[in-house]
Amino acid sequence: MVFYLQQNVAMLAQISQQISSISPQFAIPSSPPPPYPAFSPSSSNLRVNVFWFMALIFSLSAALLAILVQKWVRDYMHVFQRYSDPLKSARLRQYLHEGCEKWYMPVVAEAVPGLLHVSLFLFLVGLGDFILNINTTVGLCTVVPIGFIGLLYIFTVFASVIYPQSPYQNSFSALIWHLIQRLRGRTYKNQGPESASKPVSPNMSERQMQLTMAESGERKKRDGRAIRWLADSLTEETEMELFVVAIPGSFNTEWGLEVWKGISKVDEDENATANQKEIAAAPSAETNISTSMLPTVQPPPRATTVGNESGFIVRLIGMCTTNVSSTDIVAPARCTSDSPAPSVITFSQEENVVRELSRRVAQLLETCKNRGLFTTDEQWRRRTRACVETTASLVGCANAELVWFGDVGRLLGDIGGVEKTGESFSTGMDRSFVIRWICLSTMAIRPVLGGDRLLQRMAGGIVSSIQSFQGEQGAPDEQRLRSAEGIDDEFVRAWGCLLRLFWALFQGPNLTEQDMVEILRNHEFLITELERISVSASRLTWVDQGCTFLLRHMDQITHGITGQLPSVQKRFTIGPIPFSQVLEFFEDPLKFPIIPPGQVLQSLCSLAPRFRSILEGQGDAEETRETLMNLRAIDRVINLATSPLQRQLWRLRDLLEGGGLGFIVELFFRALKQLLSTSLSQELQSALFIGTFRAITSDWSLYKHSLGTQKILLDAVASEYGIFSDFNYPAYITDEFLQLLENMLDKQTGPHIDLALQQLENPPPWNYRGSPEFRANASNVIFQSSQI
Amino acid sequence: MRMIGDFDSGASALWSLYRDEAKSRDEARIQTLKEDMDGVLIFVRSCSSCARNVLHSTDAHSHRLVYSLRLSHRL
Repeated sequence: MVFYLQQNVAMLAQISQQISSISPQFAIPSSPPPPYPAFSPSSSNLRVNVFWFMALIFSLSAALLAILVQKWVRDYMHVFQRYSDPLKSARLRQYLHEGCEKWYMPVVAEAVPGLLHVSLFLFLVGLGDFILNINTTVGLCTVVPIGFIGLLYIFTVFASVIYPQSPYQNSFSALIWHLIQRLRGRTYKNQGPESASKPVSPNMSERQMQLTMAESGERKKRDGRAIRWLADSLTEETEMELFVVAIPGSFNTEWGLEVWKGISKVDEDENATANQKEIAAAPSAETNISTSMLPTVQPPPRATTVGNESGFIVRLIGMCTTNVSSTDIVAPARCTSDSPAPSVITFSQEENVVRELSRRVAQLLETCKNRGLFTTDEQWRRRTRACVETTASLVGCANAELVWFGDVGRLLGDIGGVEKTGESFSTGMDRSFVIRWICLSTMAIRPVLGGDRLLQRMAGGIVSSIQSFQGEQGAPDEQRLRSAEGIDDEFVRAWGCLLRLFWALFQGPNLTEQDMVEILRNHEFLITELERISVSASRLTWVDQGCTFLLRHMDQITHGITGQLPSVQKRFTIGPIPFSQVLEFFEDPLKFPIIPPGQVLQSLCSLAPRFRSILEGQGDAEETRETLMNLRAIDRVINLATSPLQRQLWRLRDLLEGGGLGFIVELFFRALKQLLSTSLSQELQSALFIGTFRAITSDWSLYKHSLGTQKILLDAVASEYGIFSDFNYPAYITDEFLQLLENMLDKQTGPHIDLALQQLENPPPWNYRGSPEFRANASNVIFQSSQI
Repeated sequence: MRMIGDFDSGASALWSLYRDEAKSRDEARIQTLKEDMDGVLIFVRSCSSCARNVLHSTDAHSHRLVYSLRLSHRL
């Protein structure tokens, strides 16, 4: 083209000369225009061309590589379709896979987008250069955005190298990270006990994995936020059920417990700040609505407390899910007065997560109450179990409160009956459920026992009817105590008679009919004594009736839970008590916290009329055999329960005045004895038990002056047959107990405390199985706290 | 026919497990790879068409641009 242009120029010059020679009158400048300069590209032109062509090549090669990679990948994936024999395809896959790694296939694949990026930037640089040479204004307008984009790109390269959490990552950041890691070898640390620092992986995604899994406080918080997010985003009932099924398992380890504690702690902090805000806002609002009437006043946006993006996202999601409900609640508040500050309402979107979770678990629990809704019993069982376990975990370990879940007693009774929690504890059943069920049950029946007026009245009735047994003078308290002692003496006497009969009858190896009558005749005074006791026991009918009614009522108000706690509370059959059951009571008196004393005495003496009839030659062989077998069974009872009635008196007084605090503590420790032998993780057990114990004893200050409660607690520690004497409880729970004891006995005095101290000073009884430190600690605590 | 020194059919459970695991893993990895490649191809295609348009019009436009600039200089 240049050639033609030059030719044109030459021809034009010739024509002009010819014209000038033809007509000289026209003054035509003779000199021809200067010749067209020879073409020589400027350096800028060169640069632009270099840039652009390189860009072209790069992008085309990227395209080529992309096509190739797609082909390779297709071939690779073909392995899985080609052979049906798993061994063949597995081997081939392994072979090819190793080949891929060896030949840096992932690197090549990663490089393809990289090539494209390079190409794009070459083009942009060339463009900038080109236009800058033509016009400065247009050029600047082009170069500035190009530079900006370039900077952005460089930022994305280094951001993910420096901050592992950064999502801005591209082909080059991996390369640079690899190089840096080769040169410097950065390390990270676990916060765990084995805190050896390990090198961070040169692979970026592996590095992220390492850092996310590294044990640290940050990870704990992150886990907590993840759970909060999950709780916020699951809204459907079926989803919720799955979630509820899954929650209890997350409490199994110490880590899980700490995460949950973290969750509830953040909630508390938020509540605290919210309360402060509320108080600060109250005077300025000048409304007649008290602050307590604005339940929706909630913490400030979580972003401030959590302080990063993910928290913000959580908050956003939380806002979406809680939006409807909270605005519903806000609406009436708005109607009643115009002036509540709008800022207060905007903050109301936040919900305490554990609280919110509890609310929804409560909803699920509510659906469980209607068994007709479920197509199969199995579904009901599954959901109820999950709800119970979750509730127990949340209340025991995540600072939730039982009242948030509504009335669960009925449901606990039902599911306890279905799962037979009371019976087959030893056979392989779901321990984790039973533990949680028991913890939740003790927590659930605590307020019921404390708040039931009828129960208290019944307990009072029994206490005053005991008085009639042997008390004629003195203060009513004293009379009752003396009566109880009297009944206990009768127990001892009856027992003594039976024992002497036993010794007399089972001396020799063989016992003939003749011998037996002879022996019985010699010991007729024992039979007479038993008959006398039986008569005197009939004076206790009122007490017996009261006890039976009390137990029945207790069953009713606790929905049968008290009867389902394992090996805690059995009750005697209604009507005459079989002799074997009485023996069971004497073996383990704590199993039966409340007994009808008259019936027990009569049952003990029930052998007397049989012996009498043998003596008179009227008994048939079958009856005789049975009687002797019963008598022989008393050999089983090694240690006789001392003063059961006095204990019962204290227990009743505890129910009467102490809200059943001591009673529940006794129940709890009895159940614990069974639970501690389970294989559940130590951390969960301790957290759950401590949580439960604190929950059931949280209102101790109300019952501080209840003599019955004090006496029961002291008895548990000091008495020969107290709860702590026949089992070695772990220190974490005994410490809690001693703390309660200290609180209860603070600045209290009385003969019962002195007695306990005295008992503790003696060497431990022969059947003591607790730790010696516990006795010393207990004695110390009692002594210290009773000092004024 | 089974070769000497090989797994018998009892091991097929293990290898099918391997295959399934490998398959799911490879598929996930390759899915992302394919998407990347598709992205590259789409980008290159759109770029080339864009470049063609620019080149086609460059002749006329650049001449006009250059000419107008020269004119403005002379004026």
